[in-house]
Amino acid sequence: MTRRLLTLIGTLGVIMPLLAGNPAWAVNPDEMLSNPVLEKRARDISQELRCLVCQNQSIDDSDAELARDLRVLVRERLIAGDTNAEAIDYIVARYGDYVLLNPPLKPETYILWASPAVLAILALLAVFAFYRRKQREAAATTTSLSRDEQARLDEILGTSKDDGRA
Amino acid sequence: MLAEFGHFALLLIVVTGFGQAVLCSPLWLRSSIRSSLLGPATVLAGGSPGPFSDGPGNMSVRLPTQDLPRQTSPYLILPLGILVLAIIAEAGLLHAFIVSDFSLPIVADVSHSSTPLLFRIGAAFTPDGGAMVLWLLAVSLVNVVLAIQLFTPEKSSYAQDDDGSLYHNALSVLGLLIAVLGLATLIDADPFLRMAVAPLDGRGMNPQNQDVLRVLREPFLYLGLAGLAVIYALTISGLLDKKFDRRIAETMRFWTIMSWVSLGTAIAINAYRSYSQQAWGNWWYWDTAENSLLLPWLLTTALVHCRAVLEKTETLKGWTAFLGLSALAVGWFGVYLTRSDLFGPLTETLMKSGDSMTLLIGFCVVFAGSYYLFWQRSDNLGEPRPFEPISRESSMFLNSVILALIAAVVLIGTIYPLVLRWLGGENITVGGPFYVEVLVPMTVPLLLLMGFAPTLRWRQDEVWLIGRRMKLAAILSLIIFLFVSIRFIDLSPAPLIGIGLAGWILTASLSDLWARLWRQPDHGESKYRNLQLLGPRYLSMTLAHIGLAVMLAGGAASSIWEEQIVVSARAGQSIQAGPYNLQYEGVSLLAGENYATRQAKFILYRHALPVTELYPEIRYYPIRGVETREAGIWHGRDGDLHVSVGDRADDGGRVVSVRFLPMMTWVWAGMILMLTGGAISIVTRIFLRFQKNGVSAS
Repeated sequence: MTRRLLTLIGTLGVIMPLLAGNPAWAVNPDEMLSNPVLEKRARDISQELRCLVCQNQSIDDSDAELARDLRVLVRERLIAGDTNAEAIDYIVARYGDYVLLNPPLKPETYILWASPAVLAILALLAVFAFYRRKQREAAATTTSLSRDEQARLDEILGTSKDDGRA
Repeated sequence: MLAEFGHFALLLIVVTGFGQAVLCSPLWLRSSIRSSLLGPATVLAGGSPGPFSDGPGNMSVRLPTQDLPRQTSPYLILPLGILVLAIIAEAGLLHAFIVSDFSLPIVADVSHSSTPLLFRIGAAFTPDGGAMVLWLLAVSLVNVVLAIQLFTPEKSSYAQDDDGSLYHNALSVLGLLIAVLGLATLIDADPFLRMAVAPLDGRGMNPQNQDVLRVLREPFLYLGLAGLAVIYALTISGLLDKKFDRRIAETMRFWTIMSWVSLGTAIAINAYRSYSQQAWGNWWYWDTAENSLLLPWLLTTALVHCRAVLEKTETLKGWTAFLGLSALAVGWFGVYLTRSDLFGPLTETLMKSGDSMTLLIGFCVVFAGSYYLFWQRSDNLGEPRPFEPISRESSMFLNSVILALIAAVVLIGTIYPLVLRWLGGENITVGGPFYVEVLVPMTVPLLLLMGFAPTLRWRQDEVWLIGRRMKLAAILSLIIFLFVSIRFIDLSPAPLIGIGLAGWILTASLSDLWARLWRQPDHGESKYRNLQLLGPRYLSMTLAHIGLAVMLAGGAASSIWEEQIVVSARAGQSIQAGPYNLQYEGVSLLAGENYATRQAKFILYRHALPVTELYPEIRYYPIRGVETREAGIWHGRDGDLHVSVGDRADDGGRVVSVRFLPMMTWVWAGMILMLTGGAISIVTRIFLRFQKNGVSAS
């Protein structure tokens, strides 16, 4: 059972990262390539490409006519001997960066790609500053115990030590 | 004719909303104009046991003129009046849809005489104008509830600070919001306009929306947004009075949880519909409509935690106030995003009347003012009580910061392509892969924190104490993680980490529950004391956390071990997927109420024993000329079996896609657990409130 599962995973091996949920097969059997290696590559590429008429669906998920055309096109390019990158470039050259679900890094998207890191750093700094201020305020407001109070406290703590925390 | 009543009611809502904004405002109540007109505001004697009679010590400090009237009529009549008007408006609209009055363009655009009754009602919620009316109805409803809260002050430990000003301010702000929303409805997308010549029939409902669950999504969404409007109003109220304190936090409690549950339900419905309707589909696509649901929910989740800290320790004032304002801001902006033409092809709303400009302008004005007020008052939002970096307060603070960070990233990802296009740049897409790459590193610390945060002590805690408490959970979850990752070493790390984290949250929550249940009772305590000490708050929190862990585990596991088969099947053929075996029986042509359907029949066997029959469909809606697909889904013990059918294949068979998603049931169960946790909190809250009031009245 386990071996079957493993071989299944090995051959299909389609793992979408956690948050993306599950990839689905919109692929029709007649589109599929007989060569499993090529087919696997085609699936990988398809999940990176957007169905142009849908909302953020990959062409792998979509059953729209246009998505089907693109899937067939990807497979044609792979059969023609393209690498994955060449096949994607081929599609991008015709449809623009819009087809890429993961936006490419270029001057227009610098802000997009930098924003999470920048925001995270800003948040870290803000949290740090918050604790610094907190500490200063605490230092300013807390008055230390008087001698008698300290003695009384020690006494209480000393006697209740054997009680332990309930 | 009813539609005209509705139209007039809508107009009156705007006027009454402004009226409430002015008449409930403490500025007006204390003003000299009012005094000269009506005499000084007086508190009627012998009413509900308000906080005025609480402590004699208080009365001496407070000037009598500061006491705002709690029982004079306008403060309940106005909200009630608005609610009645909103009901009339909604009824007028629904009536037009029910009787298929196609002289209203809104009805002609999204309905048809052949649409079944339930979906004609559902269709009334989806177009811009209909959605706005529903939103107005929801805000009017919460407005009345808030007014009732004003007249039945709670016997709480903080109530002595209350002179009614909090509620008066909040009602005033809500009145203003209602007026702005009403105005936006009338100007942007007036649903009650008529055409001179009515078409013979409508263009039909979007078939994607023809589903019982989908119809319920809209009321939940707008109820959630209305709850956020109350939170917003209370926040503004506190800022205006320079008293953003635990009293406000206490009042907010019901509203944060209510919004959280409502928005969560809308998200869950959305996810389940994607899963079952888009037959080859995922359950989350990160598209504009989904993100605009997710954003307010993320901030509400942050708020649920911060609010608790504010109520308990009176710290995090500024941050809670900021979240209180921002939750409505992103919710409102999301509503604008989903209906704006600016932002590309949107299938959700089919009727486009203008560009919702008033909604956008209203948004800008309202929130520019709000954040300015926040900035002005930031000096009053100091932190009198200290806490250490390792403490319960701190954990909740960090949790909400990370949630807000996630929300900010999602917001940027959602609007970036739109802004770029608006600036004249080229079209780009920000899709799932981007969000996954960027958000996974942020969620990992969040989920790690989630495991041990509920065990932390307030004010100050020690690392070694945490270590001692979390020892068992840490070891157990590490074993789970190592076991899974060694066994499935060749898998990509993200789902494995997901399973590890789910195990961590689950074991940590359960071990904390265990420790609390088996705590050595103090001398003289009954042995049920531990159970009492847990309380509904703790239980609902634990349930929600466990729910998230269950969902996470299910999502990760199903993405790893999913089995997918696409075949061209002929009648009688059987298809193996996981422990299940599906026998294809063929397709029959059937007529639905307003669609034709090709319904396939499958008999599902589990280990050769028949379990059930599944009927995936391809529906054709002739009015719109659109095909939709309905998957056949079986929620089994070990996972979901998801089968859908496609077109005829070239070789004459039928394209059948079968997926076995192990533990997918956990995803749905986890969502239900989370929402149940929230619902428990709401129900006990309402129950306790009535109980308290009953006790105090007797």
